[in-house]
Amino acid sequence: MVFCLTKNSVPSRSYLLHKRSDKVCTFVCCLFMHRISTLVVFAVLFSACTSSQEPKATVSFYYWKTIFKLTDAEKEVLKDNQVDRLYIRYFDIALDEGKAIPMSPVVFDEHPQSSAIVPVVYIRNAVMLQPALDVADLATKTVDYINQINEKLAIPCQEIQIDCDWTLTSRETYFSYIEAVKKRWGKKLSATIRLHQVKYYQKAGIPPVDRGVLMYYNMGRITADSSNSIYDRETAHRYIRSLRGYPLALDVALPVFSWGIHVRNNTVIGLLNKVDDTTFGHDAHFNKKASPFFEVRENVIKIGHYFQRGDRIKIESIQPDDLQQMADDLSEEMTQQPHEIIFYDLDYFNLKNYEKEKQFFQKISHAF
Amino acid sequence: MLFSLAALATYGIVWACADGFMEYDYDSSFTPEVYVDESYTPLFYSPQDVFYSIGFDDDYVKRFNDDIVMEWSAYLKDKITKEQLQYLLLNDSAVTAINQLYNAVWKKTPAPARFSKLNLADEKIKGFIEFMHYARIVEVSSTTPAYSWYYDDGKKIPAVDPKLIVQIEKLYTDTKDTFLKNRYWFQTMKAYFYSKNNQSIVAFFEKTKTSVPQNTLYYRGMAYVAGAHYKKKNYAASNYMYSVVFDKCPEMRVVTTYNFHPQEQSDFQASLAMAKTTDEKAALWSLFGYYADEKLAIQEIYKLNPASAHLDFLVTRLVNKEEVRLNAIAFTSAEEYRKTRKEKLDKNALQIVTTIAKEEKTTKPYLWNIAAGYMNTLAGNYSIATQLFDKAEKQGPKSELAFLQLHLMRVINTLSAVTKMDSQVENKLLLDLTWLYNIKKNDATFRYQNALNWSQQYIASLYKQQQNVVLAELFDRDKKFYNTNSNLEAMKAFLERPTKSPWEQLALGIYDITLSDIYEYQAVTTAYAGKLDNAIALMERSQNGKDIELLGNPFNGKIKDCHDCDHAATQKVKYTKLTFLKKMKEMQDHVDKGEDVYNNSSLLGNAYYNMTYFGNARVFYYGAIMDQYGNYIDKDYQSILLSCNLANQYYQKAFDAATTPEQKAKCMYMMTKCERNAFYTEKYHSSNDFYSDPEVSFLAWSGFKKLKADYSNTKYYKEVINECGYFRKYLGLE
Repeated sequence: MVFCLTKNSVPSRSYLLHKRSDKVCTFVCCLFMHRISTLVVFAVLFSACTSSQEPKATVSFYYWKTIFKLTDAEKEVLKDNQVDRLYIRYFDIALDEGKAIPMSPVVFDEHPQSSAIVPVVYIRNAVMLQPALDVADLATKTVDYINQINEKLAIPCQEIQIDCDWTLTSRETYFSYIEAVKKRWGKKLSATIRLHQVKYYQKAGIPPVDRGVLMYYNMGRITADSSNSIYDRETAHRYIRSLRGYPLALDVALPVFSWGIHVRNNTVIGLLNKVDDTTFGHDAHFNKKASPFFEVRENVIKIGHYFQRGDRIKIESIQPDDLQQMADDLSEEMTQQPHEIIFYDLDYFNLKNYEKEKQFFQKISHAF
Repeated sequence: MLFSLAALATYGIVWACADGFMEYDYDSSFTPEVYVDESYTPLFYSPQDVFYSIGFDDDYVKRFNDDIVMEWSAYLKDKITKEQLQYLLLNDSAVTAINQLYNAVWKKTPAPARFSKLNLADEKIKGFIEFMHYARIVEVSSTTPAYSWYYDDGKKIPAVDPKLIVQIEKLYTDTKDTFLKNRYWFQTMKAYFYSKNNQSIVAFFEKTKTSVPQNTLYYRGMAYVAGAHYKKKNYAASNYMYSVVFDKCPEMRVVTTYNFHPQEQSDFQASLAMAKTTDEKAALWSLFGYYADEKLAIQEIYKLNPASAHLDFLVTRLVNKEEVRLNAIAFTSAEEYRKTRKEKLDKNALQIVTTIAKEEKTTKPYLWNIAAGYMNTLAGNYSIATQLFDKAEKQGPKSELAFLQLHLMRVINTLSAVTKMDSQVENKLLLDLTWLYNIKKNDATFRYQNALNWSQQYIASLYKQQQNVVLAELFDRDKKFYNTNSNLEAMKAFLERPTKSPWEQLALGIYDITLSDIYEYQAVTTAYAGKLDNAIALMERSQNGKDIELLGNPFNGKIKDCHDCDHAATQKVKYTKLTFLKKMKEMQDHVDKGEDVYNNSSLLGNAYYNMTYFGNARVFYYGAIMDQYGNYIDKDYQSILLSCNLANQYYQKAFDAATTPEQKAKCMYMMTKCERNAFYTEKYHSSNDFYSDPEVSFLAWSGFKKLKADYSNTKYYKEVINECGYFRKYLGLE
């Protein structure tokens, strides 16, 4: 009990229920006690063994651009944080006139030097909702296409990862697709898991993979107000308690990207990729307002967009402290320590926000 | 490239998440199609799409197909059939035939059978075949193969071989035939663009541009040059050239708009500095207006050339943007409506449009008069608006769409000026509104739906102010109207009155609640109050409601609430809303007389249970007034539809009258269901954000405890264990 109250700033809902209502039954109390005891046991184990026995979670990155080429600065971040594995988006699978096809395949301008590459395939949910989808055929094509790329580049590969925001209606198809990929691939298979899929896993199901990667970002709606759609602790808290009961071993993906939301008359009119405070901070056409906003002082065309006087730009970014907070919150809720923390995504534009500490990403991964 | 590719792509994302697609007249009454040349249509204001009506421009490959066939057909006349020509020009699989024909001409091999009648000695045919031979080779580099499951396929398109460019350029230089020469020029341009050294196209274009006729091929070629500049990040030159093509080649208006893409303010200024003529400057301002600021663009173009056709689409965009912005402002009274429109209307826009209309220097004065009229309506200048509409009527096209548009503008203006409803105003509006409320929507072009909805709301707000609740309700249905008994009685009196004025008939025509609905609503709410006699009397007067059949037996009381099972089960007696009430009344009478109290009370308990949201007879409360068909029950009806109090009272009565432990166990369990529903209601159903995923599914209900303590020896207890998972969990059995 003490553990629960001191570790969590907000007592769990079941605790509130327990305090408030005399009607709370034995069952709910049992559940609650069970949860407490699990936590206590876990805490004991954790403090007793982890520091000396458990290897720390390693650092990795997603590479999500269509042309693979790393800058020196990016290579340095990888070196400083002892990254020896990269998750590279190989291609998307989307529908073209009703047929599932690979789109925007990655082109390698240089050979990836990391010792391990995990190809990631992003599949649009619409593909899984296609009524007469031949999942076995698609799985074969997916694996073969990955193999073609690996062979061409001589990339050894032990694992592939599938990324799909499946829904209740596509679940069955998606899971049989995963099964078929597993059969064809024969090696390790992982899949991304969104927060809502964790919370409602009894309905959403668990994909039949070896490991999942919890995507700890894109939590909210893109709005004109000051909320952050990439990460919002309060929203996250509504979901992460469910991690304790989640039956699949999870690694964690954390966001390091930023973007801008272009707002006119309190309405979102566009998304500005790869912008941050520095994009507008030194431009006299913009006034810095209370964070996270800038306001347009004078009409101007900039970065290919037209900004009209009075427009607002909301910068959504992830500060180093946010990542620390995510690590703290998650490590409290996850019953198993993740093996790997994968940052999204590898691009110097994103990484420069964290360059004060050379081994910042490792520090975050070690906080788990 | 788009001016703002990311931004526009984002619209797709943002709007994809919004609820359903609304047609354009959801918030607009100004139909731009009335006035503007078709080549501008995709550029109309369309906040939900990248391009109005078409969504995306995907006409890259086929845009000029018809023109190409037509031009070659005119050139070759009857030397080749239309079908053969079409095949060779447009069909992807014609490459083999073209090569065979090419060999037949130059290497004297046999021609394919399909073309055996073609006179290969004819100079024009020979020229055509030779041209097609080269054009098809260039095409390999200019068209993207479809994505395939072969990694290399999708990756790179081969660049045009420099040797091929030399050959084609030579053909361009040597050919005397002007038709062919022009086409070889275009093929040379294309070949340069798709070669590794695509910047060479700039020099070739500069060298040859004055000797080439300024036709569609010329502007298509120029667009390649613009593309080459873009690749080199020469944004000023690129945008300047795209604007020229936008101006001169209507077929390419959409694609050039799509590609126009200044990165920084300085790019646009530099493009302007390159523009040599007023037309070129006006074209640049047009594109600026499309992406950035219509008002500024209109002013600049008007200064340069008041007769510019680009002004037309820009003013429709300006008006559409203004009205959409203003229509989003909610109002509760007519006064508030007029005040907010007047205050929030962009005065600068009003002044610009009114001035241009007044000066009548544009080529479409009726467009400016009607636009200025509409904006003056919004500004509250109703008589000025009328004068402008009168002028527009004299000048405007005689099309049906133009007539409808002007009529609608006049209706909006007339009604906006009304501050009080009386018989005189009603008579004045009758014809116009009869027209508006009876428009048959044949196609989606004419935008009248917003005006229709607004007119109803506006008139209703006036009646409301004048305390005429019935007419206010008829014009604008208020979901809470029938919650007030005096409103309900007033509406009944109105509907039962035998004669109605034409105005009242008009209002009635747009109202979707009937007298039968009202009686049904009264009957249902009365039944929830347990007043069965009254409920029966009211239900009998509901002509359309009383005979509606319930889906399952409403007297069932099962361990599990499975509506589908109850609905599918064989039912000897099918109850209607009325016969159900009558049966309940019979049972009530028995209970009152103390006859078979246990059975009758249990059945009444079941009946009252099934009438709630939790029961199998939701149909009983389905109706036009309550309108509670979904899983969320409105706050106004939660106290009746989510309450099992009455059911519980009868179960308690049955429990008290029960003579065996089996009977008592059953009543106890039924009361537990009521207890559970009260918990669900309090914890989940009454909150706005509940969406069917309860954190706590059950508690140790007091009924569970009593069942366990007092009735564990009954058969019914075992049945509950078999059927109720929650109970098993409570007992620790799973």
